[in-house]
Amino acid sequence: MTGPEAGELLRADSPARDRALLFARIAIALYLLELLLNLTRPHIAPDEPTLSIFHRLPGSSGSFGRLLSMPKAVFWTVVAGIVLGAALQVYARITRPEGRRDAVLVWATVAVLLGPFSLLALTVVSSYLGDALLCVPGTVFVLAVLHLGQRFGRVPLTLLLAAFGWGALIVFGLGRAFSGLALGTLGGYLLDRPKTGGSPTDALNALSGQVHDQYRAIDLLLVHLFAVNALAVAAGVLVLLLLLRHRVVDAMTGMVLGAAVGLGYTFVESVLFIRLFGSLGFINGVTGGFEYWIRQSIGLLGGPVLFGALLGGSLALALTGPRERRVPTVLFGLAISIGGSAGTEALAGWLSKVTHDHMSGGGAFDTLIVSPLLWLLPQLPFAAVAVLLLVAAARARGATARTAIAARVVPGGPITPVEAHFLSDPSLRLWTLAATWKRHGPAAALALYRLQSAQYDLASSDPQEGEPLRAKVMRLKASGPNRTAVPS
Amino acid sequence: MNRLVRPARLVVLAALAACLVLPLAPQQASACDVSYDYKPQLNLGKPNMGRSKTCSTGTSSVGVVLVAIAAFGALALAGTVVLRRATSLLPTPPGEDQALTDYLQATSLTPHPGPH
Repeated sequence: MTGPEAGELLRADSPARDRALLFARIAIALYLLELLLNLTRPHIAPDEPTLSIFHRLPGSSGSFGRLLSMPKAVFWTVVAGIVLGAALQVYARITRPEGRRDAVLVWATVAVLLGPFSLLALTVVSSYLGDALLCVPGTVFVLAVLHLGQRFGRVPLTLLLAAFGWGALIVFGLGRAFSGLALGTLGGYLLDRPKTGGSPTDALNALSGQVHDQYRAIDLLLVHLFAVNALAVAAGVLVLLLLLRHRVVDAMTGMVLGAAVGLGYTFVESVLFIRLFGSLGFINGVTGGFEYWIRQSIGLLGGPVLFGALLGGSLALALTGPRERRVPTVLFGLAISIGGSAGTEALAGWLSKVTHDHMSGGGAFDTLIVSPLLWLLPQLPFAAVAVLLLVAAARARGATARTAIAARVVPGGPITPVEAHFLSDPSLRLWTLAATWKRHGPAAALALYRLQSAQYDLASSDPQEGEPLRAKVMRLKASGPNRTAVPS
Repeated sequence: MNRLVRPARLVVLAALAACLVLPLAPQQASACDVSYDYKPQLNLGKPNMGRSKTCSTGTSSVGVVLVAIAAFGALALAGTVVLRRATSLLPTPPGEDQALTDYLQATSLTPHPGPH
């Protein structure tokens, strides 16, 4: 899908637009509620700022300080976005624009309301550009596998990248903004005021109690973070699925979009972990390289990518299944995503604690085997479910696609009987690409790849909406020999 | 092609054996902190608060390289298996070449042969 085509899609799709605006309004309403709770929290220190997100730990200045607290400039940009978004909605209510103007105004409102949250992710990435660049190869590899690994009709690359961007910028930004406020609010209610005086034993006991309360607050915060993340992932995937509603959408479409959103989130979160955990090695025994190994190598497909795929798959099933089962399916997907993320996180931490109780960490065995094993073991049942869902979705897609291809076969048309034979079997399709590359070179193979992709798009489109795609296939066929200079 | 199969098998088996040496050797185990809910276990009475070693960047890099090799190897293997399956569905050479010619002509990427 080219840029202008993607733009046309955004303008023409009213259900996706309406849902995007609804999700943006809900997100802002919940953010204002978080702000209110934070403003009214009990203060545990005399010099605490009105909003806990402005609190800076002693000695945490510069880039490290920015990592821990929400920059004031970002917060005020978020507030300005909310005010401007409200003004745009009032303007739209008064002027009642129609057609293209209405579409532009709605998307602009969504961008103004949610866009400022992306500054949090951009701050992390720009502050640690070197670490971010190190995370690019693994991320690009998984994105390529997600794009090229789909059988038959693929999610357009534009939408796949949009899903990745949604995860990296909006899901990460919303999760961080909401959780930053929740951390202060939970601390206000759960932590005691620091006591002064008393014997050293009393001071040690008080410190131990404070650490225990801090851990309790962190447990609650994690459930909160995973709930915000899952809701933000679900909103993005649903809007993207609605943008694709003129095509055949199935569980695999949702899984690919959900995984791409999770991959975007993992990309920014990895930079944060490499820096934050890597700089606390004296406490947790971790280096930046170790976090890279866990998050961008052995565990790259776990965590947000895995739970994003499961949530996306369940949303696609809900959207395409019977209407009366929509709500239970969506709730089931959200429960798996939130409960699975929080549960596996807690279980991995507990397993690590059990081993810590009788020995100290470090060494090749701990780095290469034990640490990744304890991290990934709790995720294994969810990974098994994802694989089963993927296999079932691939089979269902294969059957649907073969029927759709057969229905489009017209001698001399966009899909001829000879082409249909090769298009109906992914292994034969791969062979045609490899053999064309070998015989005619990469340019011819690329031209063939484009043609086959367009034919799959046509086969997986709504018959009433398929005319532009049919014209595209015929155009590619007509320009084929001249453009690629394939010898006969 | 067949001459390469035996050495390739040996290399793969040697790599697998090397990977198994580490996990099968009897030793104590402990995980380094990976994520949010890993609560650091500190012992104030011990040197370095009980942390004798860290999960180092150097060792982690070895893991990254091994996983990269495994990922690309798995992709190459999957590609080979899929292509072999496709070849088994096609007529034996030279019919395979003719099948590609017929297909490319059907796509119009190569021109149809004109009337003789």
